Amino acid sequence: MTAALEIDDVHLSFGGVKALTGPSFEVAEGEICGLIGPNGAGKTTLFNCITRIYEPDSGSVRYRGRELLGQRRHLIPSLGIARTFQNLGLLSDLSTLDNVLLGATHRSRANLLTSALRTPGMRKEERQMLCEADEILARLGLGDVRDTIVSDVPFGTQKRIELARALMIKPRLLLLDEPANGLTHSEVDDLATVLREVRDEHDLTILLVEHHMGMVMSMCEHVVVLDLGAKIADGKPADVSRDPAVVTAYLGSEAA
Amino acid sequence: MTPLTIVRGSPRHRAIVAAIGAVVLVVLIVIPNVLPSFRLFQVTLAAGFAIAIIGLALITTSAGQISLAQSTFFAIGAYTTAVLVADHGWTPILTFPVGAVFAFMVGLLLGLPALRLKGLYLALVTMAFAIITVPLIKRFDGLTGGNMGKLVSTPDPPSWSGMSPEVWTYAVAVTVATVMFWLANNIVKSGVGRSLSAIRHSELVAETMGVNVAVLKSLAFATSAAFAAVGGGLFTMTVEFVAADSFGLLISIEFLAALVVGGAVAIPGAIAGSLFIEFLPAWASEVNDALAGVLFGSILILVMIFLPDGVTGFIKRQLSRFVVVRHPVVLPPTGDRIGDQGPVDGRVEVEAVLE
Repeated sequence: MTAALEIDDVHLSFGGVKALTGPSFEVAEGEICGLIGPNGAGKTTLFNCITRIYEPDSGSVRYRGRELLGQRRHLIPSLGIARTFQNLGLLSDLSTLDNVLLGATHRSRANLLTSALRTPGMRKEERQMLCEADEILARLGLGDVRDTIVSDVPFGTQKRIELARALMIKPRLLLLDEPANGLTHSEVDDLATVLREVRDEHDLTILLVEHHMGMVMSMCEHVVVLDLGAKIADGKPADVSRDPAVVTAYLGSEAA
Repeated sequence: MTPLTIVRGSPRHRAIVAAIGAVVLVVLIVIPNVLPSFRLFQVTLAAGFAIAIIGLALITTSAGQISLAQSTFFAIGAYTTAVLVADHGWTPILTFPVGAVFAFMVGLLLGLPALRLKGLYLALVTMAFAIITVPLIKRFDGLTGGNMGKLVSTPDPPSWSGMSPEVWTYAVAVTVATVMFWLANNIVKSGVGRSLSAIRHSELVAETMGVNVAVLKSLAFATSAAFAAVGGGLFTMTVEFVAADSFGLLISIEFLAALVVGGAVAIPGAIAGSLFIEFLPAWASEVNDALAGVLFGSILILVMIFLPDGVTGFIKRQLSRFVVVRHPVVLPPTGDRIGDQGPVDGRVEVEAVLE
């Protein structure tokens, strides 16, 4: 299998704080890869490097062989990469539908002029997007909250709305930052099921930052462990969970 | 009580939109027949202001960028019309697109700082534009008439209209305002409008979702400038006189105040706000000339206390208890996922006046 995503010796420091100290790993095409580690390990920082929010000091991030560093941030979705945010990046005063439609921005050919004049092409595109959005909403069981303002929707549902918005980008690579955070047990199980199904239906590669170990161990085929900005383990979930370095990172060493 | 749900574009929705449109049309036709001529003049003025405020709503209410340069672009439109009509004998209506294009280009140029600035910094830079506008107008007094102003006598209305000059001006103002209203409403309701909302919420999220924030911000700024210029052109046509001191920073601040009073619903809010800033000060000075400022200020404060999301925000909240307008569910042609409804062509075409 070819690598969908290659992280190669990425370094990033904020002032004196070394957030990333050269982790390297590959995510194979079509796999669900878990990215775990204690708080402050650099997981979200790495996400932010992939989606061009942070500029690494050195290293390389390649997506299907293409260097991402140097790409402009707003062009990342058109390369087929979508992400969700740890603390939700929804537009709280807009409806679920509008939030999901936002994901189609990079595919839209409408501009200020064609929008102002409501040209036939622009209206056709709008109908097409609405149709796709409704399909995704139905797929994720969000039909009931379609026209509800996002701030009136429970937190767990908001997480799913963000996932729906990411899917609206029509990504090949999906980066999920703690999607199970704040969900109930049954919601977590549902989410894992949906993610696996969506991966199969859309040929997705998923990179998942998650603290919910049950979810990571059950759904990931591959797990990468970061600690203090460096990779300390990389392999199958069962092997990683027995790795002494991982155990130490999570539980601390004796006499520490 | 569960609110009545109306699907955008459904027959019921079309009927309601048509009914509201008809009522507005009747009111607009009745106005020149019942109002005394000074009141009619005020309504005409308000239409010009409304266009500038609608433009401001595009960047401020939608995209969350505060601009105080709207008076600059209002002046550009006003003087484009003044010079073309007074010195070159143009028909006023034909000068509006010229002013709009001119202001759009100046807006793009001045909007370059908008690429980098946001919040108070953008407000400050645009305030600087507003401050230098008046001295600039005075500096080029050969063209603008400077301090003394410039008389702009507009040609008589075409004979086929059968209207008096003031009713003709009113009709032109209302027609132009309606067209600009429609254009702005289309933008706000479109994907571009969504991208503008995303910028207001978080530029980072907007970019991550594929919005080219820098480009969209400067284009929206330039578009709002073009709207202001059309409003300025109407101002000249209505007042038939322009003088430098009419285009100071205060106008920009009044436009912002109108937006805030008008409230959260971008385009109708702009119209409500323009009526507010045109009529309230006049009414206040009729009540008591000495206390006019106090009265105006007090009402402004009361509105902010009791209607924090403005007049239209309040109305929308009240209405939403009874009526909800939502997008139709448009299913793929196979329609096999939820129910059997087929594709519903044209359902999203009609704008929701209620929303």
